Amino acid sequence: MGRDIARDVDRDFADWLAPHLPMLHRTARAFAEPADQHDLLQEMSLALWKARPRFRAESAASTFAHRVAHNAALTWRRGEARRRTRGVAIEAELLTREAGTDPQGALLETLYAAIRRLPPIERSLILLSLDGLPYAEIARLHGLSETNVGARLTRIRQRVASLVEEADHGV
Amino acid sequence: MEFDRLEAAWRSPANTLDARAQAYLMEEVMKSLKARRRGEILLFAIPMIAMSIFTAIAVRAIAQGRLDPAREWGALVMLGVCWLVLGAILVAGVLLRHRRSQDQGSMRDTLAAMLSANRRARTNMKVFLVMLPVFLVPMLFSITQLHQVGKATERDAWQMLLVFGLALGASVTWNTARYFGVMKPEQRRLEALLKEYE
Repeated sequence: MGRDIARDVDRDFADWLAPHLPMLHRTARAFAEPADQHDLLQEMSLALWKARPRFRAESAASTFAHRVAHNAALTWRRGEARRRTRGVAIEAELLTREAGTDPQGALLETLYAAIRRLPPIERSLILLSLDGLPYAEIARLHGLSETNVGARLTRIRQRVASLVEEADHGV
Repeated sequence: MEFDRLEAAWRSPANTLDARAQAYLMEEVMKSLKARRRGEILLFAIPMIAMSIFTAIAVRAIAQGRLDPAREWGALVMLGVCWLVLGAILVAGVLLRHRRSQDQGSMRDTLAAMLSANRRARTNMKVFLVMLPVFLVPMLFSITQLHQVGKATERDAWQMLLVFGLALGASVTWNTARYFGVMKPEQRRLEALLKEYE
């Protein structure tokens, strides 16, 4: 009976997590080098699993997921959890295949690499903005004013664009 | 480069997981979650079972008259100290679960709270080092008493001291390594993140 309950809880969590998985994957790519992305993805999922019982419908599920995932990514330490699994290779294959067939794939790789070169808070701000969160929401998540978020994002966008350009020109 | 082009790439299908990749990732995530949960349960269950066995042995020895609490109270105090520590960890864990966590408040507040927690943890480690003599005293008493009542020869007593000493030494080494290898770097990382908000 205990096992049935655990299975139901797992299924319930999996259903809840599914719509946030693409966001977790993008966050992992922006915060960790390819070899560590799988570890970070698991850390963020674990953080969501622990935090989910405290989720109240007062805020949107996506805002809640962003908050928990970004917190986990900001405080994640490379190599902290050495759980390199056989999955990494398969996952990489799946995602590389996808990137390779799309003309935007190469540009995306450069964009992710540029974001990874930013300081962590800036990384989080630009990710939230790219994921379509309004300034007010980003400001609330980070405890900053909307004006401050706007000013920071203008600067970060310029920096990212110039980093991508540098990479394109092989600088 | 226009940022609009980058935003368009961000929203393109190349940045979206296909159904197969998503199913694979979900399976991996759930598998690792189950493994972590099992690990966490084992981490607490092993010392709990070991302590219960030691306590049952002590209770049985008292009941059968093989252990005189008046003359061999040192071992019982030692057992009591271990249960106290285990209980404190359990209570702290339950209290922490209900505390304001990283899913509430702003990320800046969370980072500040984590820095405070890091400070508390480092203080606890220092307290642990200061508390070592509190554990050492009943340990020395219990070994002396075992020797006095004839349950341990002088050689046994020295062997016990050696084993307990090694265990305590390992514990101190582990805590010191954790202090400098984990807690201090975490403190520096959190301070650097909070500085970014200034």
